[in-house]
Amino acid sequence: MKRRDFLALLGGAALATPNIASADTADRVYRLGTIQPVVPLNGTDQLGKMLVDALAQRGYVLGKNLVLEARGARGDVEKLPALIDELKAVGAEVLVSFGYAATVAAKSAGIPTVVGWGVGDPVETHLIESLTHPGGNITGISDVAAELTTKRLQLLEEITPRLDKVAMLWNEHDLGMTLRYEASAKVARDTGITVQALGVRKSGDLDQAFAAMTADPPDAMLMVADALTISNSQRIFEFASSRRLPAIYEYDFLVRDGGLMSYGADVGESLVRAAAFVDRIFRGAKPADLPFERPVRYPLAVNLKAARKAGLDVPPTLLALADEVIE
Amino acid sequence: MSISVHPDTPQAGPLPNAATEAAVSGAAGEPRVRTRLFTKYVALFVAVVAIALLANGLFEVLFYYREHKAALIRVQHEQAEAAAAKISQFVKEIESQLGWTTQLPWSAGSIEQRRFDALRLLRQVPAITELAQVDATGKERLRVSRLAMDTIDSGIDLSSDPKFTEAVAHKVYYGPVYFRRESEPYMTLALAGARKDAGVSIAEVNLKLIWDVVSQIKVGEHGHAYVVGPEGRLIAHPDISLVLRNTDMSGLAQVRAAQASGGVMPDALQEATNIEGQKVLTASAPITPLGWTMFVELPVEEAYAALYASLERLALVLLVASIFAVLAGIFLARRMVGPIQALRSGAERIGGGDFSQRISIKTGDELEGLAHQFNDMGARLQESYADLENKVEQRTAELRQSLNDLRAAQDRLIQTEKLASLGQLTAGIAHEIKNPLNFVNNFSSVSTELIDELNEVLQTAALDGKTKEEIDELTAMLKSNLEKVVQHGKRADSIVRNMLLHSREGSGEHRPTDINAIVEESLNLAYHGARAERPAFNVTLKRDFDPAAGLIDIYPQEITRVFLNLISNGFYAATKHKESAAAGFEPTLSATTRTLGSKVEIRIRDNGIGIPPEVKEKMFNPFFTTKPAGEGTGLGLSMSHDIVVKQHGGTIDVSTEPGVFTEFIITLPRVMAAGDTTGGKP
Repeated sequence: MKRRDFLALLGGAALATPNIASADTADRVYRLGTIQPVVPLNGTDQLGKMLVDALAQRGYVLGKNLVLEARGARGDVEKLPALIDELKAVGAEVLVSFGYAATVAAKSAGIPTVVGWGVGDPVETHLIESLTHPGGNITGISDVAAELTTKRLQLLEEITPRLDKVAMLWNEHDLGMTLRYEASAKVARDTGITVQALGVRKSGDLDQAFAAMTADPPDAMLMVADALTISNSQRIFEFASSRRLPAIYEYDFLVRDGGLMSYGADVGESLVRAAAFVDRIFRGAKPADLPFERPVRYPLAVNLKAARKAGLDVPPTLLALADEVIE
Repeated sequence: MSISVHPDTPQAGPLPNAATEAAVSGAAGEPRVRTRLFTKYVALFVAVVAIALLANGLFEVLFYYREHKAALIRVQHEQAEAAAAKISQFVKEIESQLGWTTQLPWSAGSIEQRRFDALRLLRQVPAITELAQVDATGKERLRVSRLAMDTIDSGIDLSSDPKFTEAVAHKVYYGPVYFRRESEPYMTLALAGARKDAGVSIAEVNLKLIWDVVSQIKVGEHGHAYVVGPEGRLIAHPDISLVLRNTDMSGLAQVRAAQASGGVMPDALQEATNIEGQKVLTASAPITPLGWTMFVELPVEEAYAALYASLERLALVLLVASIFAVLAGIFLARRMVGPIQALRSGAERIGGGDFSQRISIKTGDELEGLAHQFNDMGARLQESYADLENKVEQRTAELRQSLNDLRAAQDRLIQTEKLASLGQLTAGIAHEIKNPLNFVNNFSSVSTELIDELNEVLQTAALDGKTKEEIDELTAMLKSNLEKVVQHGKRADSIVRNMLLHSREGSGEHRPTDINAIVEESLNLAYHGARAERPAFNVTLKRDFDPAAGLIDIYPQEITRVFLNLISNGFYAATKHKESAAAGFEPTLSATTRTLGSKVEIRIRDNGIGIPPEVKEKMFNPFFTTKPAGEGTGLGLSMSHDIVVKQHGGTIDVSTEPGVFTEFIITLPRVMAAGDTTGGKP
């Protein structure tokens, strides 16, 4: 061997010490789609920012290795399948869906989908096989909204002297919401409370519902949140306030928007968990193998401003128990 | 001593043959060098270095491996214990928070206040999903939940429930882990108040929240910690999915082993396969007082990464060292073998006879000394050899000289003998011829006188004119005839005299004579003689006399005769050549003298016609002449030879080239040998 060659070999051997770099998230660009029945959750709004932050914590930085395709049906659930096809077309690898309607559409599209919230009991609505083994392309957070109804009714009891009749406002068109309503109604009836069922199918139906409540005033109101109801939330808040009607909502963001109070799964926590699911699916896990999770924290939010506006007294015990008080 | 060979003894028959064949085949070739010294050296060096390095490396690896593994196990144990302590801490914290609710007896305070306290507890401790308070009798008085409606005084009797009995008995009760909806792990934690009437608080704890704890336990880069319940069910794991999937861990060897020995794994089982099928290094610790087991595990690749890295480094070092050893071996072997090769080839060449071969080794060690010794030996050998050769040459030259001398002497002897016998013969003949010749000469003289007397007589006689005339004519003729007889008779006489000179004793005295003068005189004499004979004669004379030639002891007259002879011959040849040569030819004769120490050399050279070889052989014979009849006697050279060789003990040689030149070379001793003075006796 020539001396020169030998030296080259020696040098090469010294330099060739393995430099094992694990395949990191920075290696490629990930495409995430969000599908909302209402406004698109694109990172500029409050909820979207939470999701984007949670993803950034796991190494998916928007504009760097993460592309966020946000679609919102703006209350028109009929559009959802088309929007999901659109997301499919732009190459979204994973979807984060909100609400039953969007999730059903995602399920039929076959894209791995993480449910943020709002699907009711996914087993009962046949979105998945079981919580431990979803078995399809859907996994995520099951927010036990129906189960919490009794808790919500109790919280309404705290604020109103007597609770004999509760109005329930929900989107009758939505199977998930209907199930949720039915579960809630059952619980209410079990505890001896009359349920004033106010199923609506479109925004226009709200007036009818309001009229019904004016004709036969309930002691309190419970709104089942979905695309339709959320997109009309301001009207509902106004109505409740004007009628001095104690109302409870499922999510704290509705309270921040002007609702009286809410009790439900922690949206922030749900989004962090959703980001964890997205991360695992990006890394190759199959939604079928990822068990559904249930939220841990159920914050109680009270909007004192709304209470004052409605002329309602919030008892100090309730305020003391509240996780979030908006003044 | 005697050696007896018995080739015919039968038992020795086949064996010696084979032995001989073997011996023959063995001795057939020169003993070959089987392995080269260079290779041996390199191999030896590399082997020594490699063995040392390898041994060192292996020991290091072995000890490092053990220590590293021991350290890893130790660290893992510590981690497991620390993690277990954290889980305990987690539960203890819940327990202490729960303690607040059992401070007061049921008699004190309203149930609403208790409910409020319970709800606040739920707010403060997220892990508690549900809280029930039981009075001292075991009746459930209050139940608050995150998910369900609060119940007051449900009247459920829990007095025989282990949650109650165990808590009363042991102040605290940790229920078994159960999974809600077969997914989320829960545990019942019951706590009895310090006072008997304080009752028991029963909390349903969501163990999913341990996830916060275990996911924060860092075990290396990719390792993690997890908690397994007494039945082998996974309670907490950084991968919450595994927990929610309600994974049974009892299939893992390490879980079985740890649970069999109360939470701590036997040391023997450190490497195991985890639930994901990955090879891991694992340790465990019991979580008291829950009866759970904390496991920490670290992928084997990561655990041993440092080990592998050091192994790699070691391999690299070994490789580099081996290469270095090979290089060093080559270098050293070259330093060692190179000089040896040089010595070998040097010795080979010296052995082959090249004594001038010098071996150049500049190693500054014994090898250089050896080379010096070799060189010295070579030099000695060269000297001796050169000396020997010189001597041989000298002796050969001497021998050749003697041989030549001998041959010359022999030739001279033969020639001398030949010439001597011829000379004697000639002298004898001359002696015999001289008397009759004298008669012829004398009587013809007398006859001439008689004719004169006859003429006088006839003058007086009366004779007619005519007769007188005839008589006068006749007598004149007779007289003329007789004169011719006289003339030729004299010539014959002179020949005879010359012939007789051969047999004559040395004429005159020998004395030291200036040889240059003799040559000069001879030249003059010959030249003027030739001019006298033929006035047209002309030849260029050249003289080159060595002043150191000096005096030599000779018979001057004799030697002068020799020179005259030779010079006249030269003139003759040169003149003869001029007749046939081109117009510009100039006949030349040169005479040279030169001293040779005890001898003197005289050369007479002409540029004449030269002497053909067949003439050269015979030219010293008496009567041999190439001149036309009447011009030469054929005795000149013969006599010259006699004078120089016999009388003076010199030599006479001739070198010639026909048509170019002839040169006679005469050497004469300075002092005549005693015996030679009488040489030339007829």
